[in-house]
Amino acid sequence: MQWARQQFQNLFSNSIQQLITAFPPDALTSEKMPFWSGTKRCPTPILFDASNPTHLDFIIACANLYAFNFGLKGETSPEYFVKVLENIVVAEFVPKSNVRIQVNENENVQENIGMLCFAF
Amino acid sequence: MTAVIGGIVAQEVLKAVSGKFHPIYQYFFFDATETVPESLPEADAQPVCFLLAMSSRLTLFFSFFFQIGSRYDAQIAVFGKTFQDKLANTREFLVGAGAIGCEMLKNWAMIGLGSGPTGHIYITDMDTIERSNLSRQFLFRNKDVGHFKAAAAAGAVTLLNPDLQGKIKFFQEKVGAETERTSWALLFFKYIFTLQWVGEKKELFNDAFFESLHGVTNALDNVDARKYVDRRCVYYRKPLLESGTLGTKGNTQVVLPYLTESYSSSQDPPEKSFPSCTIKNFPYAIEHTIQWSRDLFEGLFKNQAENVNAYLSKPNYAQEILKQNGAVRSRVFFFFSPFFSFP
Repeated sequence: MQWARQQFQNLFSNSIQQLITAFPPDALTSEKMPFWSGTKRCPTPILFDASNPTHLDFIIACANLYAFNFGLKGETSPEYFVKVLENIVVAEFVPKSNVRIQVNENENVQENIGMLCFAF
Repeated sequence: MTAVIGGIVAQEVLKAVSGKFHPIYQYFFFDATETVPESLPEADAQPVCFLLAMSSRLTLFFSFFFQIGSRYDAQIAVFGKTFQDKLANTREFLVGAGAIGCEMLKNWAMIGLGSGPTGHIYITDMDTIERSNLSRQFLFRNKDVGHFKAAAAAGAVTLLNPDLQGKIKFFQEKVGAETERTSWALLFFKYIFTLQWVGEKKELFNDAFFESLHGVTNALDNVDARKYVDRRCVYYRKPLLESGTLGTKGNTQVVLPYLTESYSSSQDPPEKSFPSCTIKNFPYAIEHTIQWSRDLFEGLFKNQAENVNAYLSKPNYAQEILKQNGAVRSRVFFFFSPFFSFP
């Protein structure tokens, strides 16, 4: 569950925050055009909320799938999850400065450093 | 032609009652003049040439005099008696009796295909009818649920056209390597090794069967079976009519020996994939987010576990990975990081 909660944080909050740190909502391209325009949609990070069923469903599914990987018995009661989630602390997000994000398909960038800090 | 017009009318009716989609606007023109032969056999020539000289209204009027009292009179008026006889004495094999198979069989019944003295229709489909089939596989009714498709379809079209009584043979067998003829020697070896006699019973679609056919029609639901039937048709030099549907889209291909390429000669282009940066950082369609989730699932719950198991079962796995390119390497070692950090 700790792992699932951290996944949620990384996927829907931290990586998005990293993205808007690199390209703030009002960022301009080198041609002085708004960066977030056309097919690029400016993302919004999600704050985890255990009372939101979509958030909770993600954690339950994620934790159970991960548990299955290791042959652990699953647990699907939402009440139990809400109780445990209260005590899980996730690390504060600190934007990384050494991240480059691939903008175009043919632009080859070493982008593993920041995005790959997924698991722990 | 009637089937095409019927299909269009049905679609327009659906548009009208559902209030969805725009009806056909202005004129809709459909002709099928390419189906009319350029030259006619002697026997048919006179009346038809005479008719063609008339205006269409007169043709209708005069065609009355040439009726021979069969249900195919309209067809005979257009294509001639020789053609109708050829249709009636055709031996065709329909592989699959699902959505397309039902349509096909209905059309055949209406034109009288296989209804003549030497004509025959063979149908095979290994599936039974499910309730969800009833909406589009219109030869099946509520009472048919649970029965074999080929049998039910054969029964239904025999009611549509009684000329087909006793002219349809149906199977519930898969068309595949296991139902073609195996040599006696092979059967004998099989018998020795397995002590089970799997002889004649399964030899349905053997040499004699394919040799007796005039053509094969595919109404299948998977590419492997299509390719198998295609191979058989190439081998026996039989024409193949291939068909398929996907949502509202449809596809047909006519394969003629010595004239066209075979079905397996061409391949569908691979499905379009999205650029990885769009998926990862700049999605703008729901398909992108689905692709992202699918990739994530694969990475988190499948590849990770597989890599760990490979590491545990192959002693030199780590060295092998080190030799590979950077992308795979970083991915694998990254996935290992949580396990290394356990106390």
